[in-house]
Amino acid sequence: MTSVKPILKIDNMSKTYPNGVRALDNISLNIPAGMYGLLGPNGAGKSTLMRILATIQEPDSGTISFQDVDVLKEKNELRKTLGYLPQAFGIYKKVSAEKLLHHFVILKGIESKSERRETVEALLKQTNLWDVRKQKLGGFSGGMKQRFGVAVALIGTPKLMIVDEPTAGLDPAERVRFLNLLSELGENSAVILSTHIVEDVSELCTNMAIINKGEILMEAVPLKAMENLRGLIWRRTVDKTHLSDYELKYEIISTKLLAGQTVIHIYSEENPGDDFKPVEPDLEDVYFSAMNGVIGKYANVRKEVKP
Amino acid sequence: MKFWEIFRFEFNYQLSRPVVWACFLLILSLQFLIVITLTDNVTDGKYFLNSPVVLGLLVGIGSLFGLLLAASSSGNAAVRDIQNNIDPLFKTLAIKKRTYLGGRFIALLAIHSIILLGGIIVLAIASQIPIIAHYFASNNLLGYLQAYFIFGLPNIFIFTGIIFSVCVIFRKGAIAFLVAVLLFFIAQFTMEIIAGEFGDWDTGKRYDLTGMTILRELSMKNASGEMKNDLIPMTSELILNRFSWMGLSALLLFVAYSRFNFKYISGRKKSKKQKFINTTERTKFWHTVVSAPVVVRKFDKKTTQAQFFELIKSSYMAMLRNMAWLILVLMVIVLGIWSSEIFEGQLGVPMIASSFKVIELFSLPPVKIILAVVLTFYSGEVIWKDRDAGISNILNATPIKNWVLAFSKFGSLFLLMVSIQLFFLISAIGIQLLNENTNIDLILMFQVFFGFQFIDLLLFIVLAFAIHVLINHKFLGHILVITAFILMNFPYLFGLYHKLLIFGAAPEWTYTQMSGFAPNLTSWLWFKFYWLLWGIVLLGIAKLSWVRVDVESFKSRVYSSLKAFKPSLLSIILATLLCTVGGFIFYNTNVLNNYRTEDEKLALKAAYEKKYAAFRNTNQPDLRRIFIEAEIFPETEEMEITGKYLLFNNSSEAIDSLHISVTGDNDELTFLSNDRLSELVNDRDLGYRIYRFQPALKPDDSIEIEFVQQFRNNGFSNTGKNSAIVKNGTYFGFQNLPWIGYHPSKELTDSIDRANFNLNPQPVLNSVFDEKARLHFKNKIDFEAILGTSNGQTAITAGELQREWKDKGRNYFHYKTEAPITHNFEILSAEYKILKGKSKDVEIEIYHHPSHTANLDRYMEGIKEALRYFSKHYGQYPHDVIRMVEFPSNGIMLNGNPVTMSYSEGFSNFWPEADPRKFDFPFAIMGHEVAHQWWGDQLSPAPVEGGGLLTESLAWFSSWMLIEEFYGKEHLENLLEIMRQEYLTPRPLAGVPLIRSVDHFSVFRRGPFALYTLKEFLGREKMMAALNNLIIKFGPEKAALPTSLDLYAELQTVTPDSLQGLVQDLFYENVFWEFDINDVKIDEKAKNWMVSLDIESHKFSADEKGKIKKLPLNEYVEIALYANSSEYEFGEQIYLKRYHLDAENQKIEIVVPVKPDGVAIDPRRLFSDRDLKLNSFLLGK
Repeated sequence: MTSVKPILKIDNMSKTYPNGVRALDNISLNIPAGMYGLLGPNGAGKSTLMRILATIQEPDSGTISFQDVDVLKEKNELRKTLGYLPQAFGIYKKVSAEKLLHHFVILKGIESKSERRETVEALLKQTNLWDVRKQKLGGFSGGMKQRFGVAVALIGTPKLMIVDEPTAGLDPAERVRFLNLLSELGENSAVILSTHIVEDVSELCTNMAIINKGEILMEAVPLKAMENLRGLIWRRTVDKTHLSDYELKYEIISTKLLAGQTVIHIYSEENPGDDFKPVEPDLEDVYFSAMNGVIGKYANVRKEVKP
Repeated sequence: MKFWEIFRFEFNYQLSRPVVWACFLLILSLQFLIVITLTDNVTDGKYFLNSPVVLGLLVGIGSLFGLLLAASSSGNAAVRDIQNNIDPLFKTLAIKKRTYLGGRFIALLAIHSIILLGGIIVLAIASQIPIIAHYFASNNLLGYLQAYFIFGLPNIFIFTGIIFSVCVIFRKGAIAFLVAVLLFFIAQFTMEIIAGEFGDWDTGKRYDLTGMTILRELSMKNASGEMKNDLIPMTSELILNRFSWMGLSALLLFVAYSRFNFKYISGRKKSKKQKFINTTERTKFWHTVVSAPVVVRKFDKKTTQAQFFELIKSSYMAMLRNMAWLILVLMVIVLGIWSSEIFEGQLGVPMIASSFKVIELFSLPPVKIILAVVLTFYSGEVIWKDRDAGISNILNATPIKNWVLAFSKFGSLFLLMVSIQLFFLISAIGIQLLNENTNIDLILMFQVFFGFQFIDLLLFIVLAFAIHVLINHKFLGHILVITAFILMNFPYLFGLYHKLLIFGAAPEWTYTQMSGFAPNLTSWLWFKFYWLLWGIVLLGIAKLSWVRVDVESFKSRVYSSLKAFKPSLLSIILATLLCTVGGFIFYNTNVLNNYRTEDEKLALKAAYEKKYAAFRNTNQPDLRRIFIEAEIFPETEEMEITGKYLLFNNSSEAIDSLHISVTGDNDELTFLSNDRLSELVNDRDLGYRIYRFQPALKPDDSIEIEFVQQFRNNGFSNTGKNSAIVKNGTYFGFQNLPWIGYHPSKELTDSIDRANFNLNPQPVLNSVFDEKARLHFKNKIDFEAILGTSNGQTAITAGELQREWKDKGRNYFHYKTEAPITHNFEILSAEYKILKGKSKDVEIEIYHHPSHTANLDRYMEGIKEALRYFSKHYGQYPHDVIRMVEFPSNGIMLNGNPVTMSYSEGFSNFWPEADPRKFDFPFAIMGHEVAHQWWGDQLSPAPVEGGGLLTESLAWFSSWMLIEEFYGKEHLENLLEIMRQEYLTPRPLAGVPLIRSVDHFSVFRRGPFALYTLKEFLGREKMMAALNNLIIKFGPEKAALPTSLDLYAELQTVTPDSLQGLVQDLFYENVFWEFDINDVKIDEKAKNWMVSLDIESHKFSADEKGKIKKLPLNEYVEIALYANSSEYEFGEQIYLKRYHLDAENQKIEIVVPVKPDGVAIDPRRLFSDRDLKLNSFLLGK
């Protein structure tokens, strides 16, 4: 674990929806300054966690403390320094970007008129919306809207940023620009980025957690996690028809297609032979290993079960 | 297949929405309420609950309120995909748009059709339940089918089609609600305004949206059960109406269909300009490394304030961007256009647009409903705006306090309300100027728009806001707010009467120029204060349950708001205040005053009758003389009356007991001790007393009894205060004084109520042929009064003024009648100005409010001429003075009491100069009231059927004769033409002859018109002679009371044999004529023009049950020819002659020297003809 003092501490948090879905199951996390990736598949409970952190949802149990503030009791204290970019959000279609941003600038507590104006201008320039500031938001493209959301989240240089699946709807070029923008943020505050795209985390985050079915499978520093897997991941190309044989023999952590051929990655502590070649592990291997219970929370459990 | 799938999905989807079920329940319960109210009509024998007309009504009203459902589901179905961002899926499915739209539309129709079926199925099942079976006839399947296929399905198609199309065309769901409101008003407009208010039933039926106007007409024609079993007549106009609206709906659907494009369901149309920006932006790289300035954020009071006002501003601006307020602008424009028409008084005579009249426009029920709907809509929008836009996630995570979020929303709603009221105030000024009145009472307007109405609206938006916050479901919230609105306006539907239990209720405030806001202002303020306190509670609840974090269930929200509640000083103060104010009000309504529920009041009336009706015919002495001393204290709204009644035994038997009915507060009446009277019964609850005469009052013996009675308000009651005695404008009727004997007017009148209390049907008036009834002889009284009132006021009552003096700063007046009068007087006191005049030896005095001077000269002339003319024909007016005194009330009321007549303030607002039809309405009314000095005061009819013929009918007829003499025939014909318009209101054939009539129409219209028709045949002199004979025989100091038969006899006496049949038809039978011109030919003949007419005539009579009997024809009917007619109107009359018609089909040839272009039979409508369609023709060019 990182030695840095956590900014945000989540303890024993659980949340069950009325339809019985257990979205969060006794989660505890320590989140330090810098970019923090929350990686998990769809439906893992990421958004629930993010919404709770953004103070717009109530957990059933557990505590959150943010720099000694009990967030669940004093939501407004966190809100005072919170930037939140939800997974999906809307805008008032008939209002211009500048006006709506100005609206939020006031709501976020920037009082003096000149500071407001400066803030709006700087944020619009930073998010490259300055040229379209007079445009009604209804006419914005998905990317522009997303950047507008970032601008709102950035108001007042928040100490905590919650960014929920921000790159989902962006094209590759926009995504790159967007991640650049986020990385700048990470310099001064804690940024929690939830995503199901491994690259988002590997490119940006200094810390991460992998979450699935409401549980934290693993908390790690990406570079260290990859290092830990060195020499344990092997790959080979297989014929699709024989895949099931391999499944029985090896601990397959991922299967993917590469130029029409099936490539499998396996976890093995010794050289499996059989045409397997060692791989320099990337974060994807960490992710899939954790998801498959090879490493992380269920790693020991699995080993014991194995005959 | 795809169609079927879309249909099936939509059908199930809609059924899964709670709103649909809520609407279903609402419709069912409304239908149930209607059925309950209709049971009265069933007991009266007018209908069965499953009569085809009733079924039509039920289905029609069901469909009308189905508008709510149509709005909710059409709005949803039309734009759901856009809202849910599911549209791309549909775009790519390769469905034809007719499948997509058609499937959904037909699914909606199917749901609505099924829901509408519910009510009548329940009714059909109910008809089989034995205990209530007597409310039903045997079920006629055709009746059910007719209701469903003429009123049900077409209405559904019309409503759903129009709303669905508009939503699709504008790609907006919110518009559905507004279109529904608009349709509702079109539906109401044809029935209530065009048909009801303006009496234009033909137009009303033509544009009738729901078929309800047609049904209404049918029910008005059906007074005595002719339509009990009949199917609804399938007239061509009904069918045309149904198809034209359905056509409009289909047309709109077609437009929606052709404008619909899958590209558009996404709702995103990109303009070229934006595309351009997108492309340039793409090529640009983000190398701008600008970081936002590091600003210090402060979260102090100033920030909170800034946030609060920013949120108010943004949400207010959003409301303005949502154009629903345009409805209000539109409404004001409509009000402005119709205002002069709405301001018209009786007979369409224009009225001065006083500021208060203009203000009243803004509290007309439709205006109130529209305003409520708009505010409901906005209160939903304001709460849902952020969530609908999807921005609430971000917003809720900003550092804003909960109360700032919640109250800023409310603040913007409040601001909107202020804007609306300001807009109304400015519009009111505009409308007043538009109606050519520059005398604008700005203070009054401000008092109402920013006082009375303001508080009412404020309470309403508080409630709407709180409901929307609590319910947290937009459409369900709307429905609940509307339900609350209905509850607040019609609480008795829910069995609520006490105003402490009805949100926002207070005793009604009134305003008149004479008495200002008296007498209910104080109680109004107390009640509103009480409700404003509750309003604060509601706002507190709204704040506590403000939805900021996602919560799943209503239960958990209640739990978390309870948890969030911390008793603060404010809440303690609020609770204490609520208890104190509520307690104070309760002390006033229930301790100081006797609060009784409606049921208790009915029970008391029933008990009065059960207990004392036995004394109905107990022999009682006659009142011969009344002497009262009344001290009026306008400042304290009190009066003390000391009265003396001289009672005389006019019968042949000794009377041993005196019965007194008390109409006011029994406890405030004391009879002074009298040696000959001892109290036997003093029933405080029922207001009945019996005293024993000791010794008994022998025939021709008399006794004077003396009493003291206080009139004052103890605090205020649930309905406010008694308005008889106010600061300026005391108006007190003799009915409030002790009444000798059993008082039938205290009985229950409603037949259902009577049945509920096991009372027999109320005895009808005695038959006109009942000779004994005319011996119920009450002699006239001598009347004397000393009235004291405050300095500056004049107190007036009947009689000649004897003396006038001041004592201890108060004014005193002594009145005494020189000749006996009927027992009918009023006491009035106010700051009056007096206009004096003279007609021969009679002083004329008009007491009026100083600013009401517009028509005084007309009153004076009317009274003067009437006295002159009637004295000449009916005998000398018996008093030395005649007065007309104004009293406070905005309604139009006049009383032709002996000596001192009275008129309401509303009457002062007539503006005959602005009437293009040119007739002197105030003059005519004065003629009518002065005529009552003879017809009613000198000659009072026996208490039997047809009595009104001797009072109201003769008063109108006399007034007409006066007008004819004074202003000439043309002036009179103008007036009659207008008065005849009431004949256009649909009414049943069934009825009794005039000599037995008691209803308003017969007495005020049919009667005088029958007299007028006869006068056209006999001439004025003969008629006046007949009336003179009547008054000589039955006038003052005569023993027996006259009936309509005596008038009939006098008329027969002056009528020649050839016209005796006509007199009988007009008065003794219920006869109708029908004259039609079936064909007209015009030929030129030797420089002259020959007109050949084919005339078809019928005559028949109808009895009370509506049974029709054909009668032989033997009539003299006028035929008129016209020349120089315009396209719409007859020109000058060039020919008028009476023809004898004695066959059903007759040819008539007329030769005239000028080419006629118009022809009419019975042009002056001397005969009662129900269908005027073929009576006159414009022959055209």
